[in-house]
Amino acid sequence: MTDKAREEMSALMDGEASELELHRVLKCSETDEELRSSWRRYHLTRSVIRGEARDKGLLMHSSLDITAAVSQAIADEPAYAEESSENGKRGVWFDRVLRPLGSVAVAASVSAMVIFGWQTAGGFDTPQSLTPSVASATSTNTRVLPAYAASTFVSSRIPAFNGPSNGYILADDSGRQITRPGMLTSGDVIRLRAPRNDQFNRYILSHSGNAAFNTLSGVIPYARVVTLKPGSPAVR
Amino acid sequence: MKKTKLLFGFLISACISVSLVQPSLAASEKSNTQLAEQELAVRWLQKMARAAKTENYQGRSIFHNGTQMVSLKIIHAMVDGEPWDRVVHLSGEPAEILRKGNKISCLHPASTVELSMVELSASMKTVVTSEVPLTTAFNGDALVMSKQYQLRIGREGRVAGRLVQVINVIPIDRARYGYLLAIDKETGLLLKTVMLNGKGKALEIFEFVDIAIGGVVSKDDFSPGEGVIWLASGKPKHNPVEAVSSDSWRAEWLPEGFNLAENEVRHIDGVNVNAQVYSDGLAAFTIFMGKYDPINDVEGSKQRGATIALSRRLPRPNSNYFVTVVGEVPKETALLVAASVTKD
Repeated sequence: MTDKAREEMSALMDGEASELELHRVLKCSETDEELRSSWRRYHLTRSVIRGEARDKGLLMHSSLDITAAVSQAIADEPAYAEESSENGKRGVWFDRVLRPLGSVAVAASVSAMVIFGWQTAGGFDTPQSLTPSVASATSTNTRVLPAYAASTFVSSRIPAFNGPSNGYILADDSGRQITRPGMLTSGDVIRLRAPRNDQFNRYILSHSGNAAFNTLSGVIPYARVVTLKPGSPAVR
Repeated sequence: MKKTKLLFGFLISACISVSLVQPSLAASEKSNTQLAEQELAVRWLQKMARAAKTENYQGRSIFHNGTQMVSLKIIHAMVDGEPWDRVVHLSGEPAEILRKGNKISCLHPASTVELSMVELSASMKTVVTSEVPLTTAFNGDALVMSKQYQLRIGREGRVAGRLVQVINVIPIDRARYGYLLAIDKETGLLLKTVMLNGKGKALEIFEFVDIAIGGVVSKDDFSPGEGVIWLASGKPKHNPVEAVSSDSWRAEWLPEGFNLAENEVRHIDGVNVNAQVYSDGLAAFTIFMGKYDPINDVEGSKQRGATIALSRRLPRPNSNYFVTVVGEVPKETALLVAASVTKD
C-alpha cells in the first residue's frame, strides 16, 4: 500500500475524500489486502478510542469478511435466463421488465450486503450468535440458526430473490394501497397489497394478551389493546 | 395453570468481549464499574418486580404510540393472590380491559373480546415450555440470565409528582427494542416506560400523571363502567381437530434469547389458529398459524407504534396456510421470523 493510498483511505474515513479518491480507494481495495486490513484496523481503533466497546459484536467480528457471503448470495441466485425459456409468454415479459429489474436487484443486493456487512461489524450481531449450540439449548422445539447469518438475511430481506417457491412480500407500513400494475401479474414477483385492517387488529388484540402475561411491561399491553377497536371504522 | 409471571430478574452477561482484543488495565476497570452499575440496576428491577406483586394502586396515565395519544385510568390490586387490573379508556370511544388472574376481557361499546387462552388440549400442552427469562423463572432472589440487554443507571427525575430512578435497558443487538424505565424510588412501582428503536427514537411512551399507591381497592372497583357491554363469558368455540397442529410447523429462525412462552389455540375470525408466543422477558411476539379455505386474507404488514403485524402465505403445496407474526419487535425481526416458518 502506497502512502498515497493510505492518505486517501484516511480521508475517506474522515468523510473528506473526493469522488475521485473514493473510487480510487474502492478500486485499490479490490486487490490490496493490506489496504483492506488497514481499513478494518483503523475502524476498530477508532471504535475502541470512542469507547464503543459496548458493541461487542464489533470486536468479535472485526475480522469478518463479507466477500464470501456476497459471492455465495450471487451464486445462489436463480438463473433468470433459464426461467424465461420455460415460458414463452413470460419470456417476453421477462426480457422487457424483469431483466433490467433483475440487474438492479443484483446491484441492490450487493450493496445491501455491503451495508449489512458493516452493520454486522458494527454490532448487529451478538457474541452469542456465534455459538449456535448455546442457542439451540434454549429451545427444544425450534432450531435456532445463527442469528442474522448473512445469507439468511439477504434472502428474506430481498423477497424477489427467494425464487418461484416463495410468494413473500414486503408491504408498506401504513397499510396504504400500493399498486404496481405490471408487477401483480406474475406470481413470483413481489406483490404489494394493503391488508384488511380489522383482520390485523384481531391478531394484534390476541397478541396483546400474550404480551401482558409474558413480559414485565405491566399494564402497557392493555394500553395497546384499548387503542384497537375491532370493527370500528375509526381503526386504521 | 400458568406460573406466576410477574417475577423476574436480570443477570448481567459476563464481560466477554474486552479480553478478546487487548486486555488493558483501563478496560478491565471500566468493565468492573459497568458490572457494579448493572448489579445496582438489577436491584432496582428486583424492587420493581416485588412492587408489581405487592402494591395496590389507582392512577391515571397517558399512552402515546407515535401517532395517537390515549388517556387511561388504571386500577391494580392483588385480589385472592391474583393480579387484577382494570384499564379504562378515558379518551375516544369507551373501552375497558379487565384482567383477573389469567383471564383478560376487552370490553367495547358493542361487544366483549376474550383475550384469555382457550383450554389447552392434551396434545398441545406437552409442547409448552416456560423458559422465558425475567418473567417466569425468577423466584425470590434467584436471577435468570438475560444476555440480550445491558442495564445502565440513568438520571433521577420526577413522574406523577414522585421521585423516580431511571434505568436504561439497552439491547445488545438490533433484533429488539430498548427501554427507559422510570421506577418510583419509594415503592419500586414502574411509573414510566419509553420504548426506543435502534436510533433512540421513542416508539411508545407510557407515563402515569397521577397515582395513589397503597389505598384500599375493593372488588367493586373492578366492575365495568358505563358505555361498555359485559357479556358473560362462555368458552369460545374450540375444536382442536380444526386447528393446525403445533407439531406440523415451526419457525426455523428465532432471535437470540426469545423462548417459547405459550403454545395454544385461538379463535380468530372464525378460524382456530395455533398461536405460539415467544418472549425474551421484555418484548414478546406471537406467531399465528391458521388454515384458510379458501384463503381470503391478504399478505401484508402494519406498523402501529412499536407493534408490527405482518402476514405471509406459505408457498405451495401449503398455500392454504397463513402465517401472521405480531409483536413489539423491529420489522426486520418479524420479517425474518415469518420468512423462516416452514410446514411439513
